Amino acid sequence: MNKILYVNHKQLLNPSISQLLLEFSHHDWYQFIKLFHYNQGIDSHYIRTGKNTLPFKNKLGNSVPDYNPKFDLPFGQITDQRCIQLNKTHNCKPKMILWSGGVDSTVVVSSILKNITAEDRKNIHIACNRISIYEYPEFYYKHIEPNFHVIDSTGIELNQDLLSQYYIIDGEPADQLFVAGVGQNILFSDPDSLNNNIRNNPDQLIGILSRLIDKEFAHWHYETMLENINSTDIPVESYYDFFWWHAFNIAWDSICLRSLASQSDHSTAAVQSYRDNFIHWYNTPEYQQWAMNNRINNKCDISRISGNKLSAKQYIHDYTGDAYYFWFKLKLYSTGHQRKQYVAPWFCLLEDYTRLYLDRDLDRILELLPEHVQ
Amino acid sequence: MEKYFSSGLPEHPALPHIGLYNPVFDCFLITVGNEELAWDLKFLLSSRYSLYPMYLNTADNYQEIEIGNHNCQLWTATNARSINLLREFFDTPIGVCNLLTPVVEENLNIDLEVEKEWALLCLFWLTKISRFRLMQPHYTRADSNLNRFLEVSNLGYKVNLHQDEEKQILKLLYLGRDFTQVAKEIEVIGQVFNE
Repeated sequence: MNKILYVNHKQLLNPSISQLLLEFSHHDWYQFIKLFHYNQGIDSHYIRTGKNTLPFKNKLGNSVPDYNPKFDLPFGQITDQRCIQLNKTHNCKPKMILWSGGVDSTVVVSSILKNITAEDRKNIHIACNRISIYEYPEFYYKHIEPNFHVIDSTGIELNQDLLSQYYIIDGEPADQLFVAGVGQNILFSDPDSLNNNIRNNPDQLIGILSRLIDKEFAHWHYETMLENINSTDIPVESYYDFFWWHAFNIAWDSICLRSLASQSDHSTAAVQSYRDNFIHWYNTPEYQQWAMNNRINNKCDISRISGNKLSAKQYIHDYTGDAYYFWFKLKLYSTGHQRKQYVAPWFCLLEDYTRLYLDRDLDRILELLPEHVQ
Repeated sequence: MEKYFSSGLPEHPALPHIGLYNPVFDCFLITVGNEELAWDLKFLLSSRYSLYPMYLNTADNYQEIEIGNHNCQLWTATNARSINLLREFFDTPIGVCNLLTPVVEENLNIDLEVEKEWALLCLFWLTKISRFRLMQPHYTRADSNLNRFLEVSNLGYKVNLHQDEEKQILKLLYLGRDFTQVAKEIEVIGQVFNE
């Protein structure tokens, strides 16, 4: 029987669904969904490694590689290797890079400029919009405009035509390698707490979480995460680590499926095409090993508001020499500027890539959902 | 710096006084006396760093401090770090300072004085171009408002006068990095605004 692969948690507030999930009240789901605020833009929480302490089974297969404490490849070397490797393995059609002007996708473009010949670059196009240019004008005018064919990404749709024409590459899931976005801002507003130990000093952490969700649920979230953390051998010790872990272990899968939400073609072939042709640059075992082994260095950086993603900024700086971007670039809500056409949100994705909708497929959802719940 | 210095104070004490807050330096880089200029300056400097406009005169201790471009880099606001930094290019409202407080010096490899000098250069030229526009013969606010849709520019409305020079100057200020070179280049282009 076809099983549920992934549920869009934002739709769990629907009363016809919440009656099935008796362990969680409507209020609990509401709090659960508010947690998305510190991993903005994600639809769902799925645990990738360790004891699954959340309500749903994870069958997506984006597993965390076994932790190797001896892994010592630097960020720059991993990035160069990723670029060279992708150029070898994905060369049967042009590539389109989604450039937002932010750090993650600028690393991708810098890497291409550094590692790929001008001849090979003819098959690489840059998709961006006006906000991308506002976000990093110097890079656009000095490095993108003279070297690439530029495509307007405004309202771009990830339909099958586009996905058959190009390999599309984005700068995800990079926020999940670092602590970024709202998680970073929360910690920055309380920088003295970054190095506090999550086990010895939980009260202040629960207090920080309580700025987002009610205290009782913050406590539940802390305990749930701690149980999961304690079941792995990956060192997660500080408040900084805690926020990183949430992004790394729980938000990763949702980020990798996020762009599916804007597909207006809801066929199973469209999902297959997305899985085959949409490449998330940072979704590799090497970047994940790097993240698991390099948080101590990044922790020092994050005490300064523009100190996030310093390894990535260093990579860009080594190519461009632009000190302003290195010292001052802040995390912005880049994806919020994308003009998205309204696509009715699907409730879940099945193993054969069928999408089910609450209004159309409720009976089938009610039949399949209990198996997906732990 | 003296050539391009302006106090950044409003023309009348009842008018708003706005500081452009830099979250990395955690201080106000520059101040201006009207909202329009604050937004123009914020975006002109956005190629270097994010700046967030905040009303200074709402601070409880505003009168005591006499903040302006001579000393704003020494001051921050107690609530400045609660700004939503993620939404720089969204149309967010101007922030409101609760209380001004001295900055704690940080060891950054960027010279704040150099940045201030650049910001003052930008302010100087924005102000100069704006005054030039206002001084144009026959120019009124009615022109500025009504001609947006009436399109009567062929009847003596000269808002486009020296628009190419204005674009060149603003692009140099937006993308430029070398103060001496850019200031010199703009002096030549900007002569038309002395008329």
